[in-house]
Amino acid sequence: MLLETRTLTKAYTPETTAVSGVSLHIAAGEIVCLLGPSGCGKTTLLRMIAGLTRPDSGTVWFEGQEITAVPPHLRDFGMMFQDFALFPHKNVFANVAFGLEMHGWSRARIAARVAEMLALVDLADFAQRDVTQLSGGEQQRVALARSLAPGPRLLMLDEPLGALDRALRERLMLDLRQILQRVGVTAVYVTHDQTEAFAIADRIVVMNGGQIEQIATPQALYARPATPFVARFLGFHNLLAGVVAAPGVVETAVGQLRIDDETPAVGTAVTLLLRPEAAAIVASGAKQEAGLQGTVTAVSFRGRYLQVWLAVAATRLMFELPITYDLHPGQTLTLALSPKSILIL
Amino acid sequence: MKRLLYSLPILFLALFYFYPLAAILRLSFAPQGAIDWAALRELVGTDYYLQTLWFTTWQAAVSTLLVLLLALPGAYVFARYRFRGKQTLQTISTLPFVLPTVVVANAFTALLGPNGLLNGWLMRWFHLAEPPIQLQFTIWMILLAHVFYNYSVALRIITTFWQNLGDRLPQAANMLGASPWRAFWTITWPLLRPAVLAAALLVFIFCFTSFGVVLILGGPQFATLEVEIYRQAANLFNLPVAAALSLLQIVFTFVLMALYTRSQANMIRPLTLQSARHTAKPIQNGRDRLIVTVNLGVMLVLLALPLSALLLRSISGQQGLTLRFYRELFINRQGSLFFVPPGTAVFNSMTFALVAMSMAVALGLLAALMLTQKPKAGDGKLQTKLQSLIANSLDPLFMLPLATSAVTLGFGYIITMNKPPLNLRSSLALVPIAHTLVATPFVIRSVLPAMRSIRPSLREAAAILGANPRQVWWHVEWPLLRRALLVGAVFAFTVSMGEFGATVFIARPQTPTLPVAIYRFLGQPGALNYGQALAMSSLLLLVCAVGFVAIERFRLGTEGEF
Repeated sequence: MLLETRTLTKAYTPETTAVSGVSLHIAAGEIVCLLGPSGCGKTTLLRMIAGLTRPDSGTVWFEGQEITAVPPHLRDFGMMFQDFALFPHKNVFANVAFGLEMHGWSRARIAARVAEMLALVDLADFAQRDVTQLSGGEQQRVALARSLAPGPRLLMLDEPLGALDRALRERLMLDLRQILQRVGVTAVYVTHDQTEAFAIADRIVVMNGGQIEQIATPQALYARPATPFVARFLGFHNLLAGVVAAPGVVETAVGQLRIDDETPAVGTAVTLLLRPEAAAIVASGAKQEAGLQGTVTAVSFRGRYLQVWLAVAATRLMFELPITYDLHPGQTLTLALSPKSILIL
Repeated sequence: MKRLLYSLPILFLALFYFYPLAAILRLSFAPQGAIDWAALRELVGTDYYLQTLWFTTWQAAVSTLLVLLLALPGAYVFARYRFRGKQTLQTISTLPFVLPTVVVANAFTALLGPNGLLNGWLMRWFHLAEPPIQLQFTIWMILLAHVFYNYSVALRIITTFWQNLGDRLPQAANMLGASPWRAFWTITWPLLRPAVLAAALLVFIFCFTSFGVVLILGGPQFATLEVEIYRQAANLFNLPVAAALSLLQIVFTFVLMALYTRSQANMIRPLTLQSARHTAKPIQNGRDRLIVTVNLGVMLVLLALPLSALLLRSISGQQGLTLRFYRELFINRQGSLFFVPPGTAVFNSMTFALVAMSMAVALGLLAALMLTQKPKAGDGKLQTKLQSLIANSLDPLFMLPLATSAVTLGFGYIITMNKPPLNLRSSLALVPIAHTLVATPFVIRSVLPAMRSIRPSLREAAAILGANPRQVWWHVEWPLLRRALLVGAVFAFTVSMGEFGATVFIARPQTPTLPVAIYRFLGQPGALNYGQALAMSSLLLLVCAVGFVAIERFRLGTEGEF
């Protein structure tokens, strides 16, 4: 285990705990994303790992050594800041060379390493540029080169794409993942954007209210959100409260639903997640027992599918339906739900 | 070690600021050891002192109002119009800020006094026996000098703010159907108000504590608190009354300063400041031209006339242009024991200013470092609260010397520094110490914004890259602060060069500074002495102007908040 945190806790004020009792393992070569809404404690956790914030309690271990009290400049970690934190009075070369100078590299080695790093981020011709005259994307890449140059034992990235516009973010996401993999550095990546986390992470740590909600690979996380919070954060709308009526059957506000998921004992209260792709339209006239009848309240064309909002009793559900249908608000619709696409959280 | 260094500015403040002030307090309440209300009762009981307070207040209020009336349109022109020479004009218009009061006062007598340039010309042209402009020793001279002196302060504060406010918000209001006038009153003015208020308060403080201008231009019948303190202490040796007046002065300026720092904090509100470059428009029509021309005319008349009059008058004698006054500076005609060649006065001023500058830079830097320290994480809640409380009150605390009258300070030195533990009365160090106290706030005000503008992530990035705290300072913070510190240093230098109120109290007879030497010449009768005073003022003007050019050269953008 490369990095380990044991019950890290930090409270800026006694009323609100930023991080409470977080224990986390990170293996060498892994890219781990800390994902969560703003204020969930992900940045505080990152800063405690970096040594920029001292935890109130708990410890940080690196390669089996406790480093909780080691100041940041002796940790040999790297960090990319959200605002990039490029030194405005130094040019691109001097920014990338800074960490190497601090580590006492010779001039010749520094020059070679900086050139190598700038080539890595595709900025080979930018060495003498003024950092204040770079575009956002260029600044981001200089910051990356700077943090990678000294060969950090662990790279931390605090919302490194947060300051950039959407189109640029999409492109740089892939670049970033490729560069990180090529260098083979262990990385902790903080973001509030699930798309970013999915694109970059080997493993995702979803945080909420200073605690870990779920740790999983991107695929597992999407397939099986562990809690209603995670499901909602990943953009799932159809969460229904219910009670297990029989094995494989749950009683909800929209009627009894059959599910393939393993059900707990009869009478247990559960939360169901209906995946948006779970429904298919039942031709009018056909009788079906698991039919979900409701009124269409909104239809939005999304290219590959129609996003349809359906009011069933007092519950509003969202489904993705084939674009071949011609649907209008006010229309009554009967949907068949696939038991496979209903999960118990 | 860090603690020790940080305690230096506070120690200095305690020793050379609070200790003399405490002595003044003691002297006003308990001159003989026991508490005695006599002096205070006298203060409250007699009309004269109330009148002094009243005069001090209303002249400051009227001066402030006049300054705002002139500076607001001026700020509008500078903030909203683009025209050739604007940059230079803007720079020149702030020159008075670094001019010593003695110089300003003399500039106005040189222009408007009975022997002034204007009267001389009018008498010659219209063959008059009497000078037609009779402003000497009237309130108008004082008000004019105050306007001259503070116009630049108000102009600078308001222009900077207005420029960065941008024109997008009023444009949005226009699009929503507001007329330009309406947009100004409902959008621009409320946003501008904190800056105007801050400027008004600062100008009011400066006028309230005005000394040199009132002493020289007001004559015997006008006295602000400041002048009265000086007269009571230096001329009448009525120390308890002087102390009581000082106390009054301190109370007033403390309240005003607290208001000022509050209003200044409010100025930080607009979050999306627009770059000034995009908000100015070129002069397009006759109306624009009129607005700009009138304002530039006001500026020219107000700022350039008195200063040129000073220079011109200092080289004009009975028979036309002459350098006689400058030559006379080096000759001791009366064999006076107290004669000090101006070269010596220049040397004194320079030496004091260099020493004061070095001390002010060191102390100001330490103070600014201390003010930007974040409370250490991990401390208890109470401790953190206490720390932030101290940090919040420290900022205005360091500004206090700026608001406290120099005369009060000099007076405090007179009564405390003449006996152990601080027997400095006859020491050469006393003048630089007083100047350091007055100059340090300028250094702090110059450095602090630069220091605050260094994002914490820069320090953190350097630390993560392996820089220890000393390396972080040397490679990241110092290079980013250097220029601001230089600006602060030159400020300190010019402030020390021009300091008059405290120096006139504490300078030893053999080692006067330039302003004190000028005042001495003014106190002696005759055209020759007057001419020499003007010649010396001109010298001082040149020195300060050079310092000012240096400040402007090294100032990055609009660094330095006042």
